[in-house]
Amino acid sequence: MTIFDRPSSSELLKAVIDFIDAETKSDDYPANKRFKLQIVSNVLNIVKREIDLGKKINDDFKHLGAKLIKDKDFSISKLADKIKNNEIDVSDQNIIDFLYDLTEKKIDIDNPKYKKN
Amino acid sequence: MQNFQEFLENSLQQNIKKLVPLTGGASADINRIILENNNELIVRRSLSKEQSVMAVPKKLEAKIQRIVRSNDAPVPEIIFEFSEDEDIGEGYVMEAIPGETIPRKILRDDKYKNVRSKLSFEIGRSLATIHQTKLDELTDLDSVTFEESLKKLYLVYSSFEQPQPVFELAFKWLETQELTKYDNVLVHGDFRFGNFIISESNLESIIDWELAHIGNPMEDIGWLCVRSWRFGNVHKRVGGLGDLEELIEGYESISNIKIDMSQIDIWQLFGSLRWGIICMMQAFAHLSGSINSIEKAAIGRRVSETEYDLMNMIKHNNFL
Repeated sequence: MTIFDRPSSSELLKAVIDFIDAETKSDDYPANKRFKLQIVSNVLNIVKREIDLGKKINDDFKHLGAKLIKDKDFSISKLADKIKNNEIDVSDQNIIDFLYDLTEKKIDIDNPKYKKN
Repeated sequence: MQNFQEFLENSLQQNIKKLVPLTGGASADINRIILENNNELIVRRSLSKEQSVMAVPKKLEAKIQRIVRSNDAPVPEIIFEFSEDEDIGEGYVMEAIPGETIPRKILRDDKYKNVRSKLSFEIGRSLATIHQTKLDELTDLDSVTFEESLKKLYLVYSSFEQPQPVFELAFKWLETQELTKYDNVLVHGDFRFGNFIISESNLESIIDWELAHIGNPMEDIGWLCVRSWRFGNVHKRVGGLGDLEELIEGYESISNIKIDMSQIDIWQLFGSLRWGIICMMQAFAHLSGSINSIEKAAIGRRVSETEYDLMNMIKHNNFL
């Protein structure tokens, strides 16, 4: 539920991204500024993907992580500390699978094109 | 900049038409000098009295280049060095080598088609030349073992207080690896596309020596293989350009060091971890408020690319 009207935050971001992309593609846009504006577009795309998909990914991994480390208050920091302090077996396939899936989901937000073909 | 230009004009005894800023390294301010007669030079300097934790002082950087060049490795000639007040800084002027450094152009443009076919071999051979540099003239350069590198990297990583489970796992993985003992060599430290100047016919020059140190020869090869610099050509392990076998062939054509592929795997994984932590360094330079930069903020979200690579190497033993 949201009290705010459309366009949603995601839709507003999309409008900004489309505007920037059109600007940088136009021939009269200065080449030396294009690169920096493309970075702006990339950053806004990350924010948009996180708004669209981030909550579900966070919820899913909180749930899976809690089962994995047997702690209902799972956090990424806790998992990192357990690995650091040898409190979990890093050769355990469940840990490896969890971390692999986690990185895949992070890449889906940060740079989906980076995934292997 | 005016003072700096005047300083350079006085030192060179020539008028400068223009100073063009170039993209810097970790701790370098780099400018292309265009002289009145249209000849070009490059000036690299560090402005801050505080040295980057990773970079060697510019004076030492110039010394390394002189020594490596005298051994016939492709490196720009140093014209003169300077060490002045904080407005001018410490640095050196070197020849500007014509050619291309932008990886995507080198990897894709038709005009580099011919050179691409022999480049992996040439890069391997040039690296072997660098690794044959006699170390007795470089006693002021730090010698770093694998264990020390890991320790240093962990200290930098933990200073950000943003624990990353994948990085913790990678550190554990690396701590358990058995490293082959090689004799120490001069390690370039940032040996990858972006730091190679390529013409249509040759590897013309290897630049950016600010991360040079004494260490294991496999470090440079592993770093070159890190997936972050394959620029979309993920199946070409050598910088998105070629296969490792061609590079090794070039390296071993003039070197007695025998390259063990399993050692390159270890150093490639180390390289991905190192790049991930450098991305964190960049992002936290922005987050700490010391530099307000969208580029540095954005690079914080590239950490996940290195995590993805690390997990592919650890889980699937996949180094491509």
